[in-house]
Amino acid sequence: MTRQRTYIDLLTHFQLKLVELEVLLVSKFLTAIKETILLGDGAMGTMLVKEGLPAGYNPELWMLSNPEKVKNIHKAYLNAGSQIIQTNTFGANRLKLKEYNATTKVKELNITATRLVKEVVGNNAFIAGIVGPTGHFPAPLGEYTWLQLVDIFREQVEALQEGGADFIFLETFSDLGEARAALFAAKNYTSLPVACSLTYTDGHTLTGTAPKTASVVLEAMGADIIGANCSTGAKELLPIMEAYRNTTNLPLLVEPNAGMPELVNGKTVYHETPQAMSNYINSFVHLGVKLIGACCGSTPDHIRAMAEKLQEEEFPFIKKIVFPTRLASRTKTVSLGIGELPQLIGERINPTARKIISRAFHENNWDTILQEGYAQVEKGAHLLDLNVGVPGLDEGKLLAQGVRQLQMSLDVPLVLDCTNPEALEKGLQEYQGKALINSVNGESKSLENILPLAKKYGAAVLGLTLDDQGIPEKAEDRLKIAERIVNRALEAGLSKKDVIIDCLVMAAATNPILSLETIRAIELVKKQLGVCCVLGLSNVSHGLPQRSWLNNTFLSLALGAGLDAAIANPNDSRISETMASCAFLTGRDPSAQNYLQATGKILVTSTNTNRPDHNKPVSFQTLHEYILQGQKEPLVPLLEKLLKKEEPLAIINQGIIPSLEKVGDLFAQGNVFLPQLMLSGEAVKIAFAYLKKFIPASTTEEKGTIVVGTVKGDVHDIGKNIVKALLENHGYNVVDLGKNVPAATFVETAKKEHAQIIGLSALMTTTMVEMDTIIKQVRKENLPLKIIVGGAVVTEDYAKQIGADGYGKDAVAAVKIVQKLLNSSKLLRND
Amino acid sequence: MPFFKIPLHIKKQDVLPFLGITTAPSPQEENLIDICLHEIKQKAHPVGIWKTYEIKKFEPNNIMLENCSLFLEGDNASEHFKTCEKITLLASTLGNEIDIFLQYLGQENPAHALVFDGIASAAIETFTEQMDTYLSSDIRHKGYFPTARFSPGYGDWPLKWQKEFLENIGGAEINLTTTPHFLLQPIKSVTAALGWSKIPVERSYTSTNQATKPCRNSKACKYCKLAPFCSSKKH
Repeated sequence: MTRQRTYIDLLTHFQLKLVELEVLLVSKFLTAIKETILLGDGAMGTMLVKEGLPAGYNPELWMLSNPEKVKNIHKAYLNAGSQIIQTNTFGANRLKLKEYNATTKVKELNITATRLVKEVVGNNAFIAGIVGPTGHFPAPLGEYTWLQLVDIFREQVEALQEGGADFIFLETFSDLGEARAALFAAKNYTSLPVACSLTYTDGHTLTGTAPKTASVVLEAMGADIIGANCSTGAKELLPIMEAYRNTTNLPLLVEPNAGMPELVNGKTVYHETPQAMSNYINSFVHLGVKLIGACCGSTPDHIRAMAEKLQEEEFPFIKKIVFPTRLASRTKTVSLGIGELPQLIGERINPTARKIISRAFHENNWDTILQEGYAQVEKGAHLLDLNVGVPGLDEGKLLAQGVRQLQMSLDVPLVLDCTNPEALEKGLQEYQGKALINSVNGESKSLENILPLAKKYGAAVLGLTLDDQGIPEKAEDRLKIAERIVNRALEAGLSKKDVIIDCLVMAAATNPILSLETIRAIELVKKQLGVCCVLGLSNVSHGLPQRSWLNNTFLSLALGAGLDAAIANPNDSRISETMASCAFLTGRDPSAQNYLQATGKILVTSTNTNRPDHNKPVSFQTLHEYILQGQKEPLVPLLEKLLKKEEPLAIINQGIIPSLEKVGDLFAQGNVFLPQLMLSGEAVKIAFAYLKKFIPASTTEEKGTIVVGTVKGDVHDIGKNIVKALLENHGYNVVDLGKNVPAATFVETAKKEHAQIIGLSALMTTTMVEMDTIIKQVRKENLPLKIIVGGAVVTEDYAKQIGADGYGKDAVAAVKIVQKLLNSSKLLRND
Repeated sequence: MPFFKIPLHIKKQDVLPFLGITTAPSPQEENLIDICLHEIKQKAHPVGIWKTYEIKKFEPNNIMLENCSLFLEGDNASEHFKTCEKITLLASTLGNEIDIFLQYLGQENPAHALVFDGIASAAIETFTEQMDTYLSSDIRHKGYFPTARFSPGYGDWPLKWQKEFLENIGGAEINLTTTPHFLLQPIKSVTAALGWSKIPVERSYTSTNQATKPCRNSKACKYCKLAPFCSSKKH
């Protein structure tokens, strides 16, 4: 027994030593990154081609039969000065290997690749275990769930660690959700540091993430180093790295392309030479980049040039920035804190409070839920609370579905309103951002169950100041619970910034004085703990009439005490007004920009600052301005006043018609564009409709009837609709046959309506031949009809060729031709 | 068939050329554009599909693909893909709700219809471009060079092949069909072929080679956002 115990002790001792050694090695890489700037290596793909990789062959599988060639590449980069050598494992995951029927080779490939690097570098460089994307985004963007992707990445990262990688390098990810899956796998199934690099085009990843959002989400999930690689060259990556620098204190990495060879005017051109690329080293270093390498198209020459440049560099002091609390969706970041505007969390997706939402969940009616989400965002919600607690329904499944639906359609970050840890985990697995978990409280069970989930999935937590004794009356006692929550969160590895406290408000109807205790509690928490505060507002007015009065008054008090966000009903427009006013009065909006914008707002998406001035003089000039600008709102009030001093026909002939003509002329000159022309036309339509009732029927002139339509086989009708609208604005009677109209229908309708003109539209070269058919039919029957033609493919030459009476190059020209043709007809009739 | 599905991400400056606005929009235009940008996010359900084929045979005036009944017919297609070994056929659409909304707007509010139509055109163009970026990345990683997109109806590739195109790649899976006159339905949809070239090829439309220009015969080129960069005499 004693010998056995001794053996076991020895084994345990050595195992512990191995772990310590491992920890030491891990620390060595992170220490190096903290203390210096490391030079990575360059492209693998193009170098493999030079070593003989045939086109279309899988680079990882080729490595198994050509290990020396892969080692040659590693040696070349090491000799050029690389301090980090990457494994040839970019596509060595189960999904990519599926194309080559090699899914069983994941472990072998990753271990082999790592060992090949080790054989070359020994202890002279760090080994980066490269993990590339699978090419599949997590559902609903792709066919695999996020958990399935985690499993696929797990297989690869475990093998890379086994092979001896010093860190995991997630490279060239174009979706934040997929990057999260890989990061989760690396952090949870290895003990290695993780570098995470996304690829950007025009400042965003393929699925719409900007660097400022990527940094928030990836840092919360535990990335040790973040950055960007591929897609673009060094110059285009500078603003990306600057955006990172301004939103994270983590070490940064960058690997620009040297550019793929492009054929320009018959010559093969490489856009970024080694010298050109190395010229950006200084800029990257001053942005806090600690790992610099190169990507597609680069060679050991690029690395050599960069190594020489790095030797000249003095490492600058990069100041740490203090960031506010941040929450994020895949595409949007919201900040909370003292220097930030107060935020509104929309509370309406809650089945407990609302039968319509409960019914929607029962019926799987996600349209209703989405509409509720849209409506709240339109009314000013900056985040949305998602509560799916319906008795009898699977909360986890509903939460996952709810997250999927909302994040696919809306930008705003979500607050996951769920205290069931199993259900919450399902929601967090779907959410590809940094969520706010609503909630934990002071009870041990809550803290033990929920805080680890927040740490694991990179979320923030909302802590309620209640425990198993209930909600304390005194503010000081609520502070104690808040303190407990914060301390336990810190122990769980969360940052203090990621703990938000809700000091809870009870219904004032039961005890009005206690409302002030909530205000005191907010003050205490803000002062003594320095964390953000959120409040579920609507409770305060429960059971009382005029709830908006109480909600908003209480909100003012809470904002004055330092509240950072409120969970409330965005349909109460006073909420936004109160928030904007309090933000200004409490110094959160020092230049009043937010307040001014809030007061001048028409729609949440509108940037229109040109509100109509209702105090303008009552004159034709003002009428002209309104028509020119397409201002509908002040038009009828102006006409009411104008009618007191002018005859209706005078208003039309001297006010409206000349204005419409003027807009048409400006359009023809290119000084206004088609949308403005249409908006002016709509204003005119409103004016005509209003004035019509003041004009005796006998005095109205019948101007003429035109039959319009898009010819058979063609389904484009926007242009035709514009012509129709303008003709109606000018007082013509227009019979619109729609699109895909047979020739016979044009002719028969024109006869039936006693039309003078047929207007034909076509957008395709294959369909415009119908115009010829229609004209021939009209001539054959000897009908007194004029025909005008137009459309994107129609030319004046074609119009003449087929014998049309007029060609409209655009809608305004079409109206002029109609005027001319009908005036000619009148003259002829008078003769 | 693999799907391509990402949230719509469209910027205001990208839509202006599709509205014929070459300078700054007026405040009223901007307001309407903002409304339509908001609406397109609700109404558009962008999705794409694709399938890659080996090139079976180059014939004069024709390219045949392995296990595919579609022919890339015409001198222009033959010239465009002459250095390729494979072709990816892709299709993208914003979905039917756009058509229904446009139909409604066309009757109720032509100005709104005009702007929404322009924005929807910008949206499908942007989405297709994103799909191109995604597919091109894979093409490059496999050692090839992606060509510019080339679609049925471009140059002398007859539009009639649109039906065959969709049948081969499974257009029905994303509810994409053609009219009897080979126009795509829903209206805001794109089909295109992307070549896998053995050598670097030009991907911009600034080529002086008029034969490969997709809009050579179309008066619609006057609305094209590439007008400032195009060598076509039509601009």
